[in-house]
Amino acid sequence: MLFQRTLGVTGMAMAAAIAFTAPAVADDGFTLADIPEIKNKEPIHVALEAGGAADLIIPYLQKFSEVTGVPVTSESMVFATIYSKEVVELQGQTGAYDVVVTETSWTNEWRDYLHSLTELAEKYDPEGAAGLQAVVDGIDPGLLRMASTRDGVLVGVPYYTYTMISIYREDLFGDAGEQAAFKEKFGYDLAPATEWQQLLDQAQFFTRKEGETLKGEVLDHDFYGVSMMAGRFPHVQDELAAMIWSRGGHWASPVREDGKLVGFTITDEDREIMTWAFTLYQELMKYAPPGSENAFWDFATAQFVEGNTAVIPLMYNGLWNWASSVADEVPGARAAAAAVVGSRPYTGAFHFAPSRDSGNPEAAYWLLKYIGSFATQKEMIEGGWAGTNADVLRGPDKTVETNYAAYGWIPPTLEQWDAQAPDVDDYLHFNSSAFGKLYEQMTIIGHENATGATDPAESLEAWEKAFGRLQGKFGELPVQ
Amino acid sequence: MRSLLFWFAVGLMIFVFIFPVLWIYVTALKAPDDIFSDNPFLFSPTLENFDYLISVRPAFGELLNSLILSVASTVVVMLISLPAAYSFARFNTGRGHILFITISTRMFPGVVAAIPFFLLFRSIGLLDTHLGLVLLYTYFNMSFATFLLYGFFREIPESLEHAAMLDGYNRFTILRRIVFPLIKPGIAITTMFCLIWSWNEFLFAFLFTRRVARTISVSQSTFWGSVEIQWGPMAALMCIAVLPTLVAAWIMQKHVVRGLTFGAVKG
Amino acid sequence: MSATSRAKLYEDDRVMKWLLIGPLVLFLLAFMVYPTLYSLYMSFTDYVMKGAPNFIGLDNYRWVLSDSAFWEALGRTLYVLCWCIAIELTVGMGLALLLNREFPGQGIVRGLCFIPLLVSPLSMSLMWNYILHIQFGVVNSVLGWLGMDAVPFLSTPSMALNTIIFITVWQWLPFSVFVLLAGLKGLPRDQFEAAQIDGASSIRVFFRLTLPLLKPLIIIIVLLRVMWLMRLFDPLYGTTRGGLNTELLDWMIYRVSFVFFDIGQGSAYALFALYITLIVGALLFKQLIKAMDGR
Repeated sequence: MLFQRTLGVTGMAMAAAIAFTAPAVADDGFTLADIPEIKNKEPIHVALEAGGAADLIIPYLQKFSEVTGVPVTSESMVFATIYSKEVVELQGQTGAYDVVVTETSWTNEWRDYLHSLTELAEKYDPEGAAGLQAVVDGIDPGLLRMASTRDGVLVGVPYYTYTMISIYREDLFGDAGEQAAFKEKFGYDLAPATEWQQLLDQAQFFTRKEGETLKGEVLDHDFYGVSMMAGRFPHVQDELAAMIWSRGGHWASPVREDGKLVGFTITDEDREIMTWAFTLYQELMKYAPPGSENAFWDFATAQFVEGNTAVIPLMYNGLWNWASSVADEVPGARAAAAAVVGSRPYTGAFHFAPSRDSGNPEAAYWLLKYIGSFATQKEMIEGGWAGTNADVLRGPDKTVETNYAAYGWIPPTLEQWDAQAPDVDDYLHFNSSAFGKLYEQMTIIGHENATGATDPAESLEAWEKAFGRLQGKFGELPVQ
Repeated sequence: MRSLLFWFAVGLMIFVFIFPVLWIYVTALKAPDDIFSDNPFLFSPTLENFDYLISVRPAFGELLNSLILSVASTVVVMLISLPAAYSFARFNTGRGHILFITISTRMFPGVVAAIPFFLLFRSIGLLDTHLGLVLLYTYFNMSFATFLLYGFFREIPESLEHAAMLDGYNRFTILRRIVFPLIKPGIAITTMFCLIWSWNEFLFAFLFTRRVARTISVSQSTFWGSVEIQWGPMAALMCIAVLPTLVAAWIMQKHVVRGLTFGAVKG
Repeated sequence: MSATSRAKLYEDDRVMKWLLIGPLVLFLLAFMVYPTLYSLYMSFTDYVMKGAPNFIGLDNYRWVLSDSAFWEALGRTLYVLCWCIAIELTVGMGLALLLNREFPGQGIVRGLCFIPLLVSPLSMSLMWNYILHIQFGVVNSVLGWLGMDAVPFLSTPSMALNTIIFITVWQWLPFSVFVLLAGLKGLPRDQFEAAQIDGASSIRVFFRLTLPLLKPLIIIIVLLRVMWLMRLFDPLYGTTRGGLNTELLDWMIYRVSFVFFDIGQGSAYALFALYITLIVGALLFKQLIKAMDGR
């Protein structure tokens, strides 16, 4: 939906820009023209994530191929199974993919199969590591940490982020009647939530039956407070992580000796916070539309766009573009984005990482540098893409006023990145080598909790058991 | 009255069977904004999804691959299953044990078998080749094909062959002139199932191919990304992908009624 | 038949029968024995497709036996299996009887009935999620216009598994219909004519004559469907992905082998499931051979 929309409106213009205009001179100044002669002409094959995302990347691959003379082919894979396919090819050491698309939480798991970018830069870049540094400097440091192993070795260039933001109906929150009613009921002003209790209050407040009024108008359908993604998809983990992190808790806390990570442990504080998060999730589900028990971002956002919910408390910034179209679907509606409660949303990115079994790491390196460069990111972001380059995002023209649909997600995203950057190093997701597996297990536990199959205490117990077993079996660091 | 009731029942049955497939076609004609709306019937039809398929995500290569793989694997299956089924039916070879083992190949979970095959194919260079997939499809269609054909051969009375033999025909002439014409419907229906199942197979196709041998069923899955499902183009490609199977089914349709008896009922 | 030609026929056959079956046996050896032995070996190890497999004895099997998720998945699979077969046989028989006559347009009707078998089950599962969605699905829209409450087909634990059964039956019902229809068409006419002359009611004829004659076909349907349903996987892919109490055995095996890449444990699950299917399958197969030869 998102990219198709983008493709229809701005995508064409963007494609034209790539084809016919000289690349704009940018901060790091790096453009296609700066790539030196690549001696190795062996074709490279890039694994891509399916959907419209592939459509936007492919023109850049072609451009790279034209300029460097290295043939680039790509293969897009369904989201639900991309992890499995890449693991088989990487662990089977087939060398089929020269560049793999990597979810940031898989970084540590795959580190044995990926090149260190710095090493590649020293080998192939005339400017050495500094040449690489100039490009990645613009990218948010938190995302860079996520694209690095726990020892700080950068293995990929993040090119696309899914940082969660909160999306709410600005028109409802700004309505004088609703504001007064809310204040009367809860004793404080109606505004985007900064505490979870406020979000719960809002969720309850906006949940209305058919025939009741909303903004003074009689509803011809039921209306709900929040859109949730409680289906057995990875997203339920992301929502829970945002809750847990917001209170300084962890799925499992790092144990350090002399600053070096030596293991993980679930502390009593973690237990308390996780139980609270599981409870909060169940509470929010009471104000979510029917169907949320099996929902993921698609149906959750659709509920908002069709005017059935007031807030999506935790949604990927890439869906802002579609969510904001509530303005076209519902008369008088307008969406706004805010930082999620606690400003510690689930944050991740897809990064391109060169495989160690690649026959042409040289070309892979330059492709990465090209995709991550300021100029490329700028083009992508202006095409509606949730780019990772903070320098581009901070541009004075990247505001809601200049482009509501394309840029509305940017201010809360930047705010959250800044808030979260110091914490990233402590998150289990970016330290455990078993995370691809843990993620799947968290999905199951989160979903069972959300649907009420397990109560919060049971959910916690299930997690502790599963974590001990999976980390022990697939991870390198012990559970203490 | 009775006939009215009959047609009502037939109509209801057909409606339930084809409505979901019809809905794929309806979805394929919807613009992105109409996918989620209050009235699913109210929209202005558009061909933009098909346009997108052709101009941005052409899948001609994948269609061709699927065609090659389905036909080739079906031919191989027939070459293996026809003689084997005849042997089972006429000589009771292996006293049912081998036949049962053949049937049971479909019982082993595909994902579990896939990993050893992957490692094996890697070492002999069969990954992302047509040959590799043809072998795999042969393996998993073989069991049903043999079982189905076994039934047809059973239906042919042994005395018929003996009589022909007495008339001085040799075995191959008998097979060609007498047995083969009798099991034509069986071959037709077996072919159809093999074609359809190879055409729609996803897991092996996804795991064992990259771009050279990629099939249409893998293409159909590439509309589901991490923050977007392209419902319209997905439905459009499903519409296209189902057409060849529809043609195959149409050609074989008249054999179906004769075809699925498994030799278990003799008229 | 003369003694010499008979002898010639049989002499020929002893070689012939193995010659004919040779390619199949070779294929079976290569493609069935290899992965089965591989899995058998791996089921005694802790192999995770990384490093070397270590022998860990019966640990994987012990885990299978003590894993409540496995037993729940097995229970669900059997539940789905029983319901699917029961519905496919009864409704299938009803539809086969309905179609077992000459009527104008019968070719077209039969062709249309075939359609569910043709569409890719995996893509279809995502479509079903959309069609049956509580808010945006076309089915619930129509129900809403008829004044009914929306049905949470795929969004409540008490219904989701039954919806999976519905999806499966939808896709496979034509198979049973056509097998039974073929059987009905092939029934010997003379016995039925005799029964009609005796004035037996059609219900009596059906239970006394038709059903017993169709018994081998019914066993075949059950046998094939047991084998295929034990491995039911596709309808979950785009719908619940094992959530809402719908995790079936093959989904679980998929998850363990293909997400966790816990080859050892996945093999143990798979072999366990295989044993169960083999036993049930062998029993059914024996019945089938008996029923087929018993005429």
